[in-house]
Amino acid sequence: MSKQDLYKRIELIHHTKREIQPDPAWVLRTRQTLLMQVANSMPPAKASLGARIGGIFSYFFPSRLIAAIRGPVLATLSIAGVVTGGSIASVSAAENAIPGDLLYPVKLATEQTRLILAKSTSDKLKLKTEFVERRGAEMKTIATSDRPEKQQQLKDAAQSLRRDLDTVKLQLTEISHQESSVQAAESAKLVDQKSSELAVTLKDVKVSVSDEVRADLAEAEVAAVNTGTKAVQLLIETQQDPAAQGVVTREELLQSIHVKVQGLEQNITDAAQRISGSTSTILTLTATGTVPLPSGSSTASSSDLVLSAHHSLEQTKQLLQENKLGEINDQLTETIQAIATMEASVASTPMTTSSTPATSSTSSASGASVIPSSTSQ
Amino acid sequence: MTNLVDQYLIFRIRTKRDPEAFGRIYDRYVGAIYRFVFLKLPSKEAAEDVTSETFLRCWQYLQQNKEVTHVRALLYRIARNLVVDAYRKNDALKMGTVTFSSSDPSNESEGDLSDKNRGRDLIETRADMALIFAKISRLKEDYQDVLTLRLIDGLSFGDIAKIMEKTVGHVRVIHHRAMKALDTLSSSHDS
Repeated sequence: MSKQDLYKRIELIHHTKREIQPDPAWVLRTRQTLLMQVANSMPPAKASLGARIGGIFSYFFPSRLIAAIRGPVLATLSIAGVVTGGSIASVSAAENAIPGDLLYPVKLATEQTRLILAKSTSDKLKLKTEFVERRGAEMKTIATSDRPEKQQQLKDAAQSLRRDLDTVKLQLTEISHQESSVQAAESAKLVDQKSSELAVTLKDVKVSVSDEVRADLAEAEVAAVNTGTKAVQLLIETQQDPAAQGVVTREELLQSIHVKVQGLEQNITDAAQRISGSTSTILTLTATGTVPLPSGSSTASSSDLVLSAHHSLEQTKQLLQENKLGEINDQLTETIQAIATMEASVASTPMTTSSTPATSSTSSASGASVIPSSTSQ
Repeated sequence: MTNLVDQYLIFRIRTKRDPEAFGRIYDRYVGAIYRFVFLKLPSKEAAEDVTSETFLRCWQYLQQNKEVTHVRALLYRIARNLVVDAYRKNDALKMGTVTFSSSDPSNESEGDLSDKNRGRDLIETRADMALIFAKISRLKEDYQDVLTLRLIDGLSFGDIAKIMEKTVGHVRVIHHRAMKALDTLSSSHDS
């Protein structure tokens, strides 16, 4: 066997190995058997408090290291304790840390540990939603601070937040498959509420940042709206189960969908204004307003996508007005996909002027048109 | 981060007497250990037996209150030793005369074309591994161990060091020398 042949075979082995999975039924059976044996052979007596405290340190630091540093560390701690009068390593200090602080990695590590130890997907989702809320609060704190590197920290935080929101969406999908309708509805209700609050927080933060960071924050805001929409879709699905109807009433659900539709409408308006700002265009204005139609052919596809997303949203609004919950879900999915395609196209459109973020669905100061609020004919 | 979580779970086992904490260790590593042993053993059932035995032995080790700095490496070490024991006990395996099963690792219905293709892939993969083992077996034992763990199992030098209870630097040196020896073998084959 030549060297090339050897490496080729090794590559094939790795490829095959990646696809090997144990039988899920066997995994579960073995786990149950193993835990029975573990529980039967587990010693009954708990360790004494002193042994437990010593045990905590021995798991995280080798015994030789502890012996070596014990003397100097105790001396330092006692001096520092006298000087500061406070605790050196404080969990609450880590809890209040924000990006850039010394204890911020400790905060993230604690969150990660809590996530890994959560037993069910709905527990993980609750924790993840709590942490996403924390990220929003941290970004608000950074935005109002005088830190010199706050723009970059906000940019990084916004990107991290988008990833976290994607995780929440995946977890919602898992819950819809794995857990009961009631549990799924409760999880979705929580996500809907928190994502709406997050979108408002991000909107506030956007006001006081540079254009470059504003784009990242806008994307995070879109992600928050999309996550909330995903939650609402799950709530619509669970409405078919009478048990889950106690978690959220039809009226509450319709109101929530209405809010989501407004958020999606804002996305489309923002995209339309970004396009209109990037080319010299002839804006088409009517009394009720329409989407600005750029005249340049290079942006024709982006405007088509904007129109397509707008049309899809109008159909969603129509179904909402007619209270057709059963059909709204599919239409919402189509609308979100149309908006995602639109966003991707707009993001790749070169900007020649800085865009002014829309803060409401009404016309901007220049009188540029907006999406009509009435339903399509 | 991974090790921090494992250490926390061991802490819960030993001080809180929490069996579910060991269940979490099982959940975290059962797939990896299964993949580690599957291609080295003749059948899915043998791989399942060795995997479950690995976790049982890991539990017995934890009960002895010995220091465990790296749970993952401990599991790999136990699994590796069990595979070696399987080879020692089974003369047919040693002689390379066992017919390896072509069954898919997970339970799929028989007669499916994709299952047959996967079965064929597994036979070919096992045959490739047997060829590679035959080549590596001409090297020193330490070289064999490092090359198998690195090339076949794709483990990091850190993991290999903990499994073999050597330093990372030492493992890197062994790996470098083993690769040179393998190159020499390959060159003599080519010529």
